[in-house]
Amino acid sequence: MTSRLTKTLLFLALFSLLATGPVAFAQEPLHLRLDQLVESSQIGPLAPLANDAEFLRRAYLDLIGAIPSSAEARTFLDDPSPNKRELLVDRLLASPRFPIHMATQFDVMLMERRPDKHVPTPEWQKYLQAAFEQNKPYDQLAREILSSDGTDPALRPAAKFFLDRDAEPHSSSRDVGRMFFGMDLQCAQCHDHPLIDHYLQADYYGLFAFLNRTEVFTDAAQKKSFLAEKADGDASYKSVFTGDAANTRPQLPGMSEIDEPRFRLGEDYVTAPAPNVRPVPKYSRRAKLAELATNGTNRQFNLNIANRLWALVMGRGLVHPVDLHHPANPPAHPAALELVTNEFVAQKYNMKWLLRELVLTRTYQRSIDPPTDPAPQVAAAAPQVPAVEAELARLKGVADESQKQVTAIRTELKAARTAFEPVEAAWKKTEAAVAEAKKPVDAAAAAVAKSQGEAATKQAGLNTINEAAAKSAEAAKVLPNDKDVAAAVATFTAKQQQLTAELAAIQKTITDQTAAHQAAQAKLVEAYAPADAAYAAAVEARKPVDAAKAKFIEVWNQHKSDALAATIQRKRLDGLQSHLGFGTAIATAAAAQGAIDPAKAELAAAALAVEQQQAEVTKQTVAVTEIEKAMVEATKQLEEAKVQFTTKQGIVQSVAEAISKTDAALQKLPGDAELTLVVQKLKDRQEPLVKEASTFEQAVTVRDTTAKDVASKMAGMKQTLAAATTEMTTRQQTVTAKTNAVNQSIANAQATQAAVVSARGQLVDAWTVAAAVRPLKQLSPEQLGWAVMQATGVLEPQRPGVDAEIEKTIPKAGTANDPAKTLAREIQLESLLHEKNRGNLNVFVSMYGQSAGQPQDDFFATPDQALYVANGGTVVGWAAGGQLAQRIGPLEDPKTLADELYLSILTRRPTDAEITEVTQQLAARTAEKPVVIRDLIWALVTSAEFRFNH
Amino acid sequence: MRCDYACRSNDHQMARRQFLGALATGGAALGGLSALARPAASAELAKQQKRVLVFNMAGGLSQLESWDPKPNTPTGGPFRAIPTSVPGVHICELLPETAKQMHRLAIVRSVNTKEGDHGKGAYMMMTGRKQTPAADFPRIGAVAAKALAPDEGGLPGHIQITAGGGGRANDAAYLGPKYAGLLMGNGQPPQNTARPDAITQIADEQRNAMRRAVNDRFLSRRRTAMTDAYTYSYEQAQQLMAQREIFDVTKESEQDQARYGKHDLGRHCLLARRLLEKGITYVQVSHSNYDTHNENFNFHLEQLGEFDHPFATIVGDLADRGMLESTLIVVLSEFGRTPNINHLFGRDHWGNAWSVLLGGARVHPGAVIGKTNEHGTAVVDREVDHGHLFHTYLQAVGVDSTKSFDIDGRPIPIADPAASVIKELLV
Repeated sequence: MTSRLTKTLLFLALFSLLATGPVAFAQEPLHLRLDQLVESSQIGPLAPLANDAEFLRRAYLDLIGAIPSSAEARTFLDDPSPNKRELLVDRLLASPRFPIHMATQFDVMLMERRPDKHVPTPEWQKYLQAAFEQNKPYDQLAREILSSDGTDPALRPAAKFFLDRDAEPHSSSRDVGRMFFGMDLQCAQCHDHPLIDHYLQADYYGLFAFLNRTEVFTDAAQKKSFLAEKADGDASYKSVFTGDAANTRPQLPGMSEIDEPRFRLGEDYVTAPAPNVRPVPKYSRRAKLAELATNGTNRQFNLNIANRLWALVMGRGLVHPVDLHHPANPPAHPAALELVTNEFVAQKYNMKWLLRELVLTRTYQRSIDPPTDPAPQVAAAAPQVPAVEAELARLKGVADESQKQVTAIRTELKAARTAFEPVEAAWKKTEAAVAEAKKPVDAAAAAVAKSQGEAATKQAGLNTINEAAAKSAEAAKVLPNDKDVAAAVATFTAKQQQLTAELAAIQKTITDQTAAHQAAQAKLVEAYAPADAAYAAAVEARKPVDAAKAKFIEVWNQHKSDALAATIQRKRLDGLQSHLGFGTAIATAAAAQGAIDPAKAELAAAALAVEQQQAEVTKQTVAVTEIEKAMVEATKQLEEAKVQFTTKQGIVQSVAEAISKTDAALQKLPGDAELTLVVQKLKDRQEPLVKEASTFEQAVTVRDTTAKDVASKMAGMKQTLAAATTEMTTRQQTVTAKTNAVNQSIANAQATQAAVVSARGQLVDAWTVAAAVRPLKQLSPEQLGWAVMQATGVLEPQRPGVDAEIEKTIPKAGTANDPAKTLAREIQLESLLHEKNRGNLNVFVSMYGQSAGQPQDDFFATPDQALYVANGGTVVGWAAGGQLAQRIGPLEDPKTLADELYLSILTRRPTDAEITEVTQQLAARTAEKPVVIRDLIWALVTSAEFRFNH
Repeated sequence: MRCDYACRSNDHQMARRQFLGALATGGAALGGLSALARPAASAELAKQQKRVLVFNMAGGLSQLESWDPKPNTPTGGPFRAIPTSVPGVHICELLPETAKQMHRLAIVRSVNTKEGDHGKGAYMMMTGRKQTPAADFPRIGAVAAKALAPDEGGLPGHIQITAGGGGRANDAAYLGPKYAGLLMGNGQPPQNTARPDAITQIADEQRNAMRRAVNDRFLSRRRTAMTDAYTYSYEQAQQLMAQREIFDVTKESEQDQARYGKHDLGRHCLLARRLLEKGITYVQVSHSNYDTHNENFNFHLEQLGEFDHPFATIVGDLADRGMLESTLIVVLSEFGRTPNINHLFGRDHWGNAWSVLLGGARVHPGAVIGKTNEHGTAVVDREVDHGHLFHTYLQAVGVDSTKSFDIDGRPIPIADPAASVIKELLV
């Protein structure tokens, strides 16, 4: 399984590298074959196809730069026919807006909103419109743009590309590289590109050499500028990094320096340079560029336009950015780009055909909604990785190997160049001698010309005098005696003689000068021979350089192709790994999510344990409370007994004392009867009292024992309670820990979920690059401006007036029966409408357009745009007073109103929620319906859904 | 030779995603106006945020009448050199207040740009690159805004206070209009920041609420950096409207207005201070005109007489507020002026040996870099040019100028890879 997959991958990689002709799927239309290639080389899933409303808006914007009216939208959405998309595409391609829109796109692509210099934008756009109207093949269009010098009125606008860059050779070189070859070589002007390994200074100067002889020539009489070209001018360069230097002949990227015819100095111009004369060389390097680029065989020229047309409708080039084709930036689907390119060339650069095929692909029709679950693709990715890694390692090895060869051949080339230098210098010296020898020739020719001018003036004077002399001779015959007449005759005769003599002198000078010229010319011719010989020697001596260069180009191209193969494989690996990474992120997130419940269960168990312990603590607390009460009682009892005992003991003490004192008295009064009686009575009483006290004493002892007993029990119970409380604290700490663990697991789950979102975001980006899901693209400033005007209903009211204006030159009646004429009239009408709104569009261009001379596709959004739209007046004015507001204002039924509102602006029917929203808005502010309608229109027009093509 | 592209790192993209994610949630919860200016939590961040203040001495300030005086020489002119707060460093007597701030500033006296054309010189000094027809490069303000300005808050990152005219400058090249200079012609606030009378406050809120509702439905299907940037631009617009006062210098105290002076440059300097304090990343003040082909000395007496006081005041104020460590100050021109004094008592264009003043951020306080000869006719020590200075400006505020910007997949070196930083000028 794995090995078969590897083989398939290998095959795909090879397939992408080795150009395949259209043989493989000869029978099927291009769009089906493209879909097969794009779909079969996907790593991830594919987005579903866009719905009808989305397709409708997309096709309108991409093919005619406009949005449909609500009526057009209704018709299309309600049309049940299964092939309605194809029919729509054909209708749009035949629309009068198609050439206008494509002209704008090509203008922006080629001129990047540079300010006009020599060719006004309307003329240039008209030229481009005509090209798309006639479906001019791209190679022809490019050839015209690259080669026109502006003298042929029909092709004058085509010269805008160079003229409006002032034919400045660096500006021209950079932009020819970018726009016609898809290579921004600007950073290779002063050294090999510091960031892109495969852009060489030689590539830059190879293009430069085609263009540095071209300059702007301004015709003083016509007050008009044209392109002129010199017959000489070197392209020499030296790297500011390495000091390597070379003088290069023209060379297209990836090709060898071209062989060129040599014309001797003095024989090299069709029209030689002179004051106020536009020089025309016999051999034009710029014309050569046009020829070599467009002759059908230049691969980079063909790849560039195929990729650019793809980008135009798909929203992103297979190679992105479109001006950075190089091995480290491979096409998203190499085989698809190869196929589009080859088929486009086979179809003779038919742009309308290619655009039609592209918009009919499923790839074009994919929805912006990213596919939901890439699980099968994630599962399929892992087994592929080892083979792809191994293949990548192998391809890197191959590329490293060819890199070594490049280094070796570079050294060889440098040596060959060094060896050639003296021969080249010798040849240049002879050329300098020719230039030196040519100076007297030029001077002599100028002198002859000057004398001839003088002679012509003299001759004219003489002719007049001759006539006057003849007339005066006639007068003398009539008036023979008139002195004045005779004097006049004499004067004229004298003057005749003088002038004749002078003329003869000039003629003589001319003869001399002509001789001098011939002599100089002879010297020049003498100088030719050594130069011719030196040139022949140089050509001979250059052969090793050319051979080394040819070998270098071969090795270099091989290396580039090796590097490309490695990058393609690395991208494939990256793609697999992002899918795996997503799978890992999902698994990690699932694991993290799964860890939450066990943690929660543990927390619950801990909480339960706390609960249980709480009961125990409560029970113990109650027992302690009880025994504390008992203790109080026992203590009380003891104290009472002690008091009773003490009281009794006091009485016994008192009795004993009384007996003792009475006995003492008896001894002083012996035998006193009363005393004896008292003693007797006291003694009788003493005995029971002592007994009673003894009883109380016993009670004290008993109660004391009881109290001690209770106290001991109480101590025990308190200990138990303390233990239970300690346990409680422990269990509570466990709950805290478990709560933290739960929170941690939730946070962890959130973090992993964020990682999933991020990984998914990266996947969606990767799917977008792979054309598996439709990218959002911004409406260009022109599309945005036009669509806002259409949606708010600013354009429709202008139509009758514009139609009336057209009617003056092309009456409708005259075109009625001729579809071609009808279309031509419609194109006129649309162009005029477009022209009349150029001012409005320019406001959008200045707000939403990139800086002049910069790539125009990059999106940006600034608050000043939003402030303009919100507070600037124009857009709010259109929303309030445009035809849309007038149309829906009178509608009573909110649903009908919402329907028209959404179809007019967003090219779709509103959802139920949206109808409800509109209904509520209207109901909430019935008194100010116009304001509500204005603001509803404004809100939809400023929405992201409107701002982007989706 | 391939570099890492500074702004394509995963960290950066993650941070942006997170930021935008947070923004969306905040927006949903608080109706989009989640935080005016800086959220309080990021006050500390705001303090650390790096800023740049550039004085453009348009026309070409004379180094001999400012930072590199040569008194008592045939080329020195009539003015004296005075001591500064840095022992041993003297500057022209026309800058007495600035002299007292010298311990916070640094002078590069060995600038050789070899360019005597106003346009080309200005281009080189502002972009750090030679002008070439094949490409346009962003000015320092756009680069600073791109590299340093925070994404939140809605405030522009790049403001130029000019003599007149508003709108958006065309000076960001491939960085795009987002980073182009917002022009405050004579200190006027940005255009369209006031709500027109036809739209009531309530209507404005309601239409924006509707716009957000429409957006939320669409963006639930697909959100990208582009859609975020687009929807955010409307929130930024609202924030700008709410914070219009930031641009109003008359909100500064009467005392400060008097301290800076009521003339244009005084007001512009105070406005610059206000903008920097409110979190604007790059502020540029122009002072014109130093193109003194005749009467060089009278003109410099007058011009620098106007410049010295407000300039010294803003340097002192930034230091007192603790902002100097995070704010780079640069005083530059398109070129200097000839040592030779012409017959009109003027000095002409001169790019071969002149000076640039820097201060704040990582600039070594009190440093003097490089030297010209006795008569100021040539650099004799540590020659530098616009490329070195450009690297130095950026590295002074923590931008690795040897990295590249990623412009929609196109890698472009931030500064000229053939030039390098003036290391000894930075601490």
